[in-house]
Amino acid sequence: MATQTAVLAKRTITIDPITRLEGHGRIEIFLDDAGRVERAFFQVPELRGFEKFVQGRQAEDMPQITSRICGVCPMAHHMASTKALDGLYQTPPPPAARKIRELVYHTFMTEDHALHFYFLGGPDFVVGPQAPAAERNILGVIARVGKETAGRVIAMRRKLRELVAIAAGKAIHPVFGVPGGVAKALNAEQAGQFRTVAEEAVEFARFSLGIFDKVVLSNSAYVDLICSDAFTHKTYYMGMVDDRNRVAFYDGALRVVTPDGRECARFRPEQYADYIQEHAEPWTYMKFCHLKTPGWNGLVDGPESGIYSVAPLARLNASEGMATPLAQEAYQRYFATLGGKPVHHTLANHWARLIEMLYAAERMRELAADPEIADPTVRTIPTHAPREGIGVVEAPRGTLIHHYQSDQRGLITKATLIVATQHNAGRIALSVEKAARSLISGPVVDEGVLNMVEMAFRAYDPCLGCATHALPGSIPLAVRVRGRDGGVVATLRRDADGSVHRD
Amino acid sequence: MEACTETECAVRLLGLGNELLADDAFGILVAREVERRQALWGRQAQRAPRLPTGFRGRRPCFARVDRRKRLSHLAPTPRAEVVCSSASGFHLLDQILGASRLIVVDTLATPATRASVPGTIHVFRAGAQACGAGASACQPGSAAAPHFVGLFDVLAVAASLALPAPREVTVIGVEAADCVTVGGEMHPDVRAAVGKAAEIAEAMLAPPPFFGGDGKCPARFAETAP
Repeated sequence: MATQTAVLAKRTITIDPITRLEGHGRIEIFLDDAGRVERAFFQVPELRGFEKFVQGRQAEDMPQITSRICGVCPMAHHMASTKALDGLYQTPPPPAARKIRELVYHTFMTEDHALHFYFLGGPDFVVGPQAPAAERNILGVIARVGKETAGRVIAMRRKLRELVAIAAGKAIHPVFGVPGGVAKALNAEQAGQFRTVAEEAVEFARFSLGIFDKVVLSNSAYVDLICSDAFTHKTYYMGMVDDRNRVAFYDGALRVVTPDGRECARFRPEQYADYIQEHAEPWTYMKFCHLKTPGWNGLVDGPESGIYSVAPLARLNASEGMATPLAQEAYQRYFATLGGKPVHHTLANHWARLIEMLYAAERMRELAADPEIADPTVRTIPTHAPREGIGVVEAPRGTLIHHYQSDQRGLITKATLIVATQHNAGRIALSVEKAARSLISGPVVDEGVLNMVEMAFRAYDPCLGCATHALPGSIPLAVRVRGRDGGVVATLRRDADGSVHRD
Repeated sequence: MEACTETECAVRLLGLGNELLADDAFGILVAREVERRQALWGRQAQRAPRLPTGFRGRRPCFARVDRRKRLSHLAPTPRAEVVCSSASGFHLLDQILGASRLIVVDTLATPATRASVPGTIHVFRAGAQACGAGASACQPGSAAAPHFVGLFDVLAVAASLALPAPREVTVIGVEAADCVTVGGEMHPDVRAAVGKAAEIAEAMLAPPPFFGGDGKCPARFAETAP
């Protein structure tokens, strides 16, 4: 590996090649002359080789291939990929197929958001950030919300996934997306099953918001934490909206708002490359997505910096409302409580997620009751030669873009994936830097850094390629502190089993 | 493959992995190898050679013993099943419920301080009751995000909610070199470990011949701490 050169505040630092600790997220911290944190970068090991792997493959296989990359959110990839095929073959789906896709997708969103809140984002709130680390996990959440509620989440999840399996073939790796439609129609009886579970899901979403109210919002310490400066960044926000600028997950326009909440861009997803680009910093492996206007201005927030974020917090900020009544009520209450739009507090993602869950359940109910969903015409056979297609959906954690180019035979010549973590890369780096600045002075690195970073991290839920099936524990993280000349002065490493090592 | 219900399934071999991601195909390859071997035994049990005729062309009397009983130790345990899955995070729950004994095959990432090389196989127990490998290895983590929920977190949830989780879980794990390259090649030592891991798994699945045990991990496969 070649040495890399970094230009940092008019000093040139040469960084020796670093052996990557496989499976560890990595934080690089640069100190200034006075020993204060000048810069901090968070780097996550990425999936490698995807773009090469898919070259020469059948485009029609992409929904199956891409859904296998991630074992946690295959449905999101499957859907974005299917939409990209619609574009590739210039064949939009008939109305019933579009509704089936939307129904299945909202079922998936309901399940994913519920799971994340109760078992994953939950620990920070439901148990409390001051609780001992041993309790701040799934079991601690179960102890707080009670076994009955936890059991309800599990049961709800199973029902939702069974529905997905009915319509999409399998819950874990859906197979129903084809260019121009879906592989299978729904009959009236199946639509009825969706309707029944949707009713339950709406009730459950309301119940969950009630829990959030009771456990989090009524506790001033938690509210202070949510609103604390350490977890606040004033960036741009992007999300998908419908024709009335209400939050949309399956299809719509992408809307971007400034840090003070004004719309600054609204475009069809196919035009994303005119608005978003990646910025490569010479001393880090990770590329940062940013807005072309105002452009890259370094790892800072504010209106002059093109850093933006996606996911529930961003989607609510970038929209003007929710398309279903109960969710709209919750949306209004959310902004009223947090002081208006936009909300810049990263931890509010968890609240926004619950509002989205309610919307997803209500929308599921609407679609399942639509008589057109049982129409047998669910596919338009493509007739055009394939060329290029872009498919965009809102995955649970943010905007997901699939972009394919193929030859005349439908073999992929180029494929690009932009996942939520990439959109959020800049903002995640800001969170890390803020945590580092507030906790590090001089070469001593505190374990508190890891905890602070983890809390912000949880709200973004970055994807490490889901491959590590590591032995249990926390996020494996390696923190490296460099002095003025770029040489390493201290390292702190937490492995997957939770053990902490100073090297 | 149909998952068996709580009343039907005594032991399940669960091969976890992702065939697209280089070494991470390991668990799936091991499960398939075990399936292949079990099918082979099944065919051999049906085609077992007839005993030679004895005096005056009659078969010895013991030949009239039911063939199925004699050869049952060679056939797959009727209440065992082999499952391959790419499930990750909480979706692992669907794969573990309904078996009273679970054997998981997967890739492992162990801390760099321990002397591990790609292809090294670790076998250890997990779960609330038996945790011979050391407490820290088997406690649920602080599951930082959905993408970090692991097997042990899911087991802990199942146990705490009194779901039909396995009462005994054994993990057969291999040290992997690369689980992040899409379409990447398996490390040769990891690939070579597939056969060995399949052997270990098979021994756990089938009751030992003539002893009628319930297929606990044979002592000769030492349980090493990860």
